Amino acid sequence: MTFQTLSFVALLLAVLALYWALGRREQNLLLLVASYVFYGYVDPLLTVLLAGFTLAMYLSALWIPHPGVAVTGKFRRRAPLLLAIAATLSVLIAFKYLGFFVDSASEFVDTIGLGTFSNTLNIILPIGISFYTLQALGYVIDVHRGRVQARRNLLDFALFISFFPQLVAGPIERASRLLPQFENRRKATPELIQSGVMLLLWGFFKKLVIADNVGVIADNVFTTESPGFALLWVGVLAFGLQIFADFSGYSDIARGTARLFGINLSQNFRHPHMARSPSDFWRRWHISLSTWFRDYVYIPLGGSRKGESRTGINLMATFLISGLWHGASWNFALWGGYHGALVVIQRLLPFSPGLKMALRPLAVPVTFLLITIGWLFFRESSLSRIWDLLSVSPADQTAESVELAAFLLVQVALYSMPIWLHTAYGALKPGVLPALASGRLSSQVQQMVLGAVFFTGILVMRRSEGGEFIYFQF
Amino acid sequence: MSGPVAAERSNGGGSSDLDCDPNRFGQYRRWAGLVIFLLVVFGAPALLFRPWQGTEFDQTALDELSARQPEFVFIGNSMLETRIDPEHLSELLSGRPVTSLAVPGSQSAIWYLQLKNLVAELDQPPATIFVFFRNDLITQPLAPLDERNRELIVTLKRPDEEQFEAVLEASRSAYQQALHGLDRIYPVQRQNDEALKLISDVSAAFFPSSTTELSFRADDQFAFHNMVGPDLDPPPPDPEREFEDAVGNSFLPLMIETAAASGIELVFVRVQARPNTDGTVRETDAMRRYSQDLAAYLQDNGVRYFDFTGNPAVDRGLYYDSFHIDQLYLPDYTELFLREVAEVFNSEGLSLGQDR
Repeated sequence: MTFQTLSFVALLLAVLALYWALGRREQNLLLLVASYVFYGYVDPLLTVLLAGFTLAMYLSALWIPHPGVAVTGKFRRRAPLLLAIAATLSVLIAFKYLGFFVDSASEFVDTIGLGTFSNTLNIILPIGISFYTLQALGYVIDVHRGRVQARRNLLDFALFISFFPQLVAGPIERASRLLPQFENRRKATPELIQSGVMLLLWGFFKKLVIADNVGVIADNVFTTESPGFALLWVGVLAFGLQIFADFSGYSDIARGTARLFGINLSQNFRHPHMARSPSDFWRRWHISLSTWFRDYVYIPLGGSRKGESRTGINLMATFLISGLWHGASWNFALWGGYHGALVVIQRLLPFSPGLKMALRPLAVPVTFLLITIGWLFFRESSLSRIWDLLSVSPADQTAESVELAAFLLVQVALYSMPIWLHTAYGALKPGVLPALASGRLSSQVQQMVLGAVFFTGILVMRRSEGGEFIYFQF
Repeated sequence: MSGPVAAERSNGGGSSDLDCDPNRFGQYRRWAGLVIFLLVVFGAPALLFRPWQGTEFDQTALDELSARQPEFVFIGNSMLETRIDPEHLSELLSGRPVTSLAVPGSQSAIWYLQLKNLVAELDQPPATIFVFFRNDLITQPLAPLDERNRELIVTLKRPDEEQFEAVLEASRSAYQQALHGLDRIYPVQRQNDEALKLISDVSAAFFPSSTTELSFRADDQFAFHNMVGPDLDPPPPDPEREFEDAVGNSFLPLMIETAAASGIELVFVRVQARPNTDGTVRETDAMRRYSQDLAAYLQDNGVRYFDFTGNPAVDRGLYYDSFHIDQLYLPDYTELFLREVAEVFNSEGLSLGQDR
């Protein structure tokens, strides 16, 4: 089931109608049932995998010795964690990477002239698997580190793994943040519900109006054999805006839905178009994933504690893994490597404080340009075609093609205008717009006007043939 | 427990630009504020674009059609619009009047009303009406998301159309009923096409070329012949229902009945999806079965039917996408159509040249 369907609206309304009349335990039970209905709506078998994985991680965490209890032998202390890691990797390899490994091996064997074999595996990727596996693994690691206590209540834990607003595309929550919310009584406040509705409207607006409309332009360009220089980069820019509107839209819908149940989910995006450097970008983009990889991969590898060269290796390794997490395809490894290289180069550049100050006005546009170039590697799955597209020269285009590209660029700018206004508002809010941003009454009127505008926009500007959320494929 | 739990509790909550400032109003005023917020946000858009509700049958459409006195009328959606150029066809038919009533996105509810309330009401009805459709649209009254055409329906409907409403109601699934309900609450969403066109028009205003020229160029740039990869499309989906289950709740019997009562020859034309690279037909077994049942039904009712599916004359290279014909080939397809259905025009006493 996906957010932009009437089935989801019906499920949400039905659950909400009961939810606030129930006690805490019954609320959790209702949410768990709703989550499994949501997840198994298309293929009920998926819930078996979800339930099995949940049980494995639940038992692994319970098996971890309590920090205060003396345990003999390192293995006994580490075994539960290793089991959880093995379970996570097994699920991911079996359902996400096996076909990719077989394909790659087949291509390699073919390349060195040892014959060919075909990939007969036809494994369907269970939706959301990359998200809930990381969330569950993070919990077991936190228990192992003594930061979170292993939970005995299976109902609460199962809900933590499967909570439907964030089950299929995040935000990837930490146990320390989400579990206590399920374990305590939730209170409906008008402010929480209103902010939830606003997030829902803004999220749907971004997805249905912005992402789906600029997505058509990106799709057209990327399915064209020889798009020409200007058209290609308009398409790449359109895709960059599409994926932001699509994924941040999803995150806002998830957060808004959760708030209707009195649950606060993490903010996943914080004006990434205002990033001043590649590393700053990753503090603003898909925050729940980048902090997960920081805490559970980069820091355990040694982080920045073992010298510059080791830091560079750790960064590259983390970004490569993060890239492959997105999809079982070499272009995602390339995309991760590109971002790793940008962050490493940023660390190595010998900028003096004076030079940094002088270049400050260029920081945001240059970062935006570098990030936009990277979307080419994300969107195009064929490495040879990526190379072909990078080789397209400005000389290889007609005046008519340039005019068409400019025409589409204006369309992209018009459709994405609300994103830029929101970004500008976010940047200016503390200083330039204090009067507008403060005061309950003005805020209430603003929200009413904005909410009505978003809702009208969804009704009028959405595409009837809108696509699926991009991150559902991961 | 206290360490981790304390840390966990301190981590709760979150903030964003859209958060509200709590605890400023009293309990009841705060809840009243939420109710007002919801009423404004979801109520105000319902008030927009209501004037259409008083609209009645549009007599001017009938008058215009009457003035043209067409001998051949074409009805359909974008399948028709991208295939038949009525002016070119008229030239090929030595100036005999041809009119197209194509409405992009339309389905058989609109085609039936065009037939019954426009074409059949002419003082001098045309000799032949061609109805173009794809897949199983001839037995689908309205597309699931096609409530925007409701406004057009209002202008095509006569005051007492009980039969029409009965078919429409019977054919709607629960999902379509819900969409229909939403449409009645929010008529503003029928401005969807206009709004998206406005974005194109505003974008084109910055350039010397017109919106039409730029759109045409975009269509050509992104047409099938410029696409990457040999085979991009899956086959069109299976029919919503088997033909026998669908026909009873469709406008097909009414269309046949109306045309017969007016003495107009009705001709159905099913267009084909772009063939596969090897020239084979892109169609599922269920759709093939539907088409055979439809053909048998039309034959039983004495109605001509041309199914272009699998027709070798319709080359894969003519297509813009999986169903539409590239506008560059509009004249070619028009000529191809005339050749393929020559018997219909011959029956009107037309002599087609051999050099075409």
